[in-house]
Amino acid sequence: MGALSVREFLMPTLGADMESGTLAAWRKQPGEMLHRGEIIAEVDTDKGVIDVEVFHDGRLVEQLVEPGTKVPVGTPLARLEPVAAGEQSLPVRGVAAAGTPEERPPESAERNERLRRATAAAMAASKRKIPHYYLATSIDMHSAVDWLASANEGRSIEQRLLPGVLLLKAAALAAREVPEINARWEAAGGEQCGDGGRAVTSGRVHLGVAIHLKGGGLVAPALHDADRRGLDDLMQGLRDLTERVRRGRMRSSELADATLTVTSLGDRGVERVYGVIRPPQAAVVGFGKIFERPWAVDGRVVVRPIVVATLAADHRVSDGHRGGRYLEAIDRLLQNPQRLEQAEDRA
Amino acid sequence: MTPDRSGELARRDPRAMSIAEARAAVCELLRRVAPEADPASLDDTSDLRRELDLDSIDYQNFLIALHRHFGVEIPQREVGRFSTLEGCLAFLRGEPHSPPR
Repeated sequence: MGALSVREFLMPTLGADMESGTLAAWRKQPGEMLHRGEIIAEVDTDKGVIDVEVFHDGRLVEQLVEPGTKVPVGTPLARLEPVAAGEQSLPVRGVAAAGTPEERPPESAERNERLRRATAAAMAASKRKIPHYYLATSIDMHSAVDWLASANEGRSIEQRLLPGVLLLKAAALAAREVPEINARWEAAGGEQCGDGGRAVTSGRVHLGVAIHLKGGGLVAPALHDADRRGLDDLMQGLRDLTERVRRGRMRSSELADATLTVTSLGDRGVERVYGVIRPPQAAVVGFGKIFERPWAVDGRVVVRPIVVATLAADHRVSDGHRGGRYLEAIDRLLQNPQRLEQAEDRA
Repeated sequence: MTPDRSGELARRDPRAMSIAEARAAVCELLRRVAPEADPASLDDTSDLRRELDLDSIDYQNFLIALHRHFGVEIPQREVGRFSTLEGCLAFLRGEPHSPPR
């Protein structure tokens, strides 16, 4: 036990556009056990109150920062002691849960303005420094739409799937086939998006889902392991994520982990959208609305539901040839929607 | 049965509610998917999705909240009826679907 060293838990980075955060409340007290992924504290940021999760199992030894303190990213917040397997949590008596996790944080125009400015700065740096290239392809969605209609038959509203979930799953599976799209650019010397650096493929596929905030600004929290999750699970995850974004309650891993962003302007919007890459990611996939259009099949013109898929990607990491392969893979996957459903555990 | 998470709103048969009560309950559910908006100020016939800037997931979450709160089933062919307050209230009163004019 004495050989296990105490480790510091740091203020996490919650996206390239965040430099500091205010510790809002502790959710665990000294002596309590934490398992990987459990929430240790709440941090107030421009993106709302973030539930901060721990990366390792351990016991909280000491809190180093008082609630209400604003600290830069990387500042030690607490000390955690690793715990041997099987060890139990100390019973903690008389400690009231800090904060009220169900409460929505107060909305403020000032917070919205800060988030809008942070989004603007990150997007401006991305456009200035990342050599984007752009591709688009029109995809016949009739198989996907028909499959969805029959899959949804008899399902209650709580279980119903939306077309967007098929698009997300296809985007995630295609990223496995063309790993340069699911990569990050590691700039040398800490300069954000700078040319000196190297591309690193990400391995797991955590899809960032761009969500517009009604007060202005944009967040793109991650749906973890989107390639390996079933459609029902993804739909549930997307609904839960959207609901928490609206309440201003995201989790630290969701803000930090996205490896590839998908932006979709929904079923009321435009036909195509070209995204701006969110550094350090290396690509952003766009889906317009699904709309009916004349489409040639075997020499005849028929009316089909079409979606335009786009890719904006970093030319330092991939090129138009590989990007084209990626969009082709999305198209192919959407022609066999029943296989999207089956592709759950092909890790 | 999934528990109703609506807390302060007591669950009642919508057909036993006055129009004003049902309207207030629907607005409260809308406020959860669009916390910044003031649904009570909406026109009964205006397009909720446009006025409150709801995306397709917000709208789905709203329909699920209606389903849980009022205990009503929402068939796929009826989902378009909920895009106005008037449409929501008509559905909750059990009025048959009238085809769009």
